[in-house]
Amino acid sequence: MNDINAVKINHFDFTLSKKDDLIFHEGPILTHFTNEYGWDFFMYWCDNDAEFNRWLLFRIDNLLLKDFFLRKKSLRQLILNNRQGFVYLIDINENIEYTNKKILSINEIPIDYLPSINSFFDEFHYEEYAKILRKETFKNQSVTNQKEADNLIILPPIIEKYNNKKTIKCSLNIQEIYFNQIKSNFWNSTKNRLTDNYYSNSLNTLKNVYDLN
Amino acid sequence: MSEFLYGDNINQLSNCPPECYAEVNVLAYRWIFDNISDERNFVPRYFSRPPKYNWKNDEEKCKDLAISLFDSCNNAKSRFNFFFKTMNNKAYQFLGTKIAECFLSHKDGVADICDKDKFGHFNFHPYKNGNRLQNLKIVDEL
Repeated sequence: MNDINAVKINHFDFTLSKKDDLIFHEGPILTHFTNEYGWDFFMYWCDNDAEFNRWLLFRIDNLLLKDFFLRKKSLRQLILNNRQGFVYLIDINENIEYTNKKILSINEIPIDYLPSINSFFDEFHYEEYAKILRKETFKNQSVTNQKEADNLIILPPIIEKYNNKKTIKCSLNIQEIYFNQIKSNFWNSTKNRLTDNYYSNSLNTLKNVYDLN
Repeated sequence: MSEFLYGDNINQLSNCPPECYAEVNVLAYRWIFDNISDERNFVPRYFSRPPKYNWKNDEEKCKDLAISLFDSCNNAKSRFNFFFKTMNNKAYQFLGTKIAECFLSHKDGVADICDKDKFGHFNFHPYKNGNRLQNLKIVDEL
């Protein structure tokens, strides 16, 4: 298993809860997780060695999922089009300990870690849970159009911009500050749809933390 | 009663193999790696490390001590093709590169013919004195 040059992180600022497996063969290959903020993640198995299984963890949202279940977007596109612009790379040992956690820009994901370009949803071969998730996805009408979905972007892919260690550390702090600033009220507000005013405030916050003014 | 090949492990588990497993006389198909003598072609996933999930219960451990097989070459190929789409070339690295056929007789072990899934996949617990898949014959490429 190759050593991937990416930004190491010590811990997640959220706790993952497993929902269920979507693809399974001699163990999970694709699994759905959520966290305490109601965010959805897919965890995709991409490699292993004698000690660890390696996974890519990435955010998904309702709009992407709809396109996925409609076969407009592949699993590969779910990873590459995820709105954070990065994935978490995690090595998990046999005691299910999450070690070697890294943040990897989508552009830096090794090509052989990605599903094929034809990795479209296949109802027959996915686990039964996929049908449940598909039903829930189309039941959830909280995101009804592209403009609103675009507003759900949390962070731009900052890792690419800051590509030396010092600034990466700084950018991660910024990321954390940014998350802390908005996560407490962002998701509550999305329950009643995002307003233009809120979006404007979010953008201003973003500009401030990135010193873009 | 015949002794299981992995009896030392199986005997530590409850209800393994389950009652619905039975001796069979069938042609079975298995994904294998290029070199037919590759150890991975004969060893159940229990012995491949690391396991992908916490071994919480005996049922899962029992399944991991079985050999993965398919009931037809087409089903073996179809399932692999799906994983190839999902895992790309990793499928060749981790699952296999060829399909091999073998005849399983009632002297070779027991299979979960009662619980064969929709992919035509089933598990097989080999006996210690059975042929242990020694008659694997490559019949197709993956």
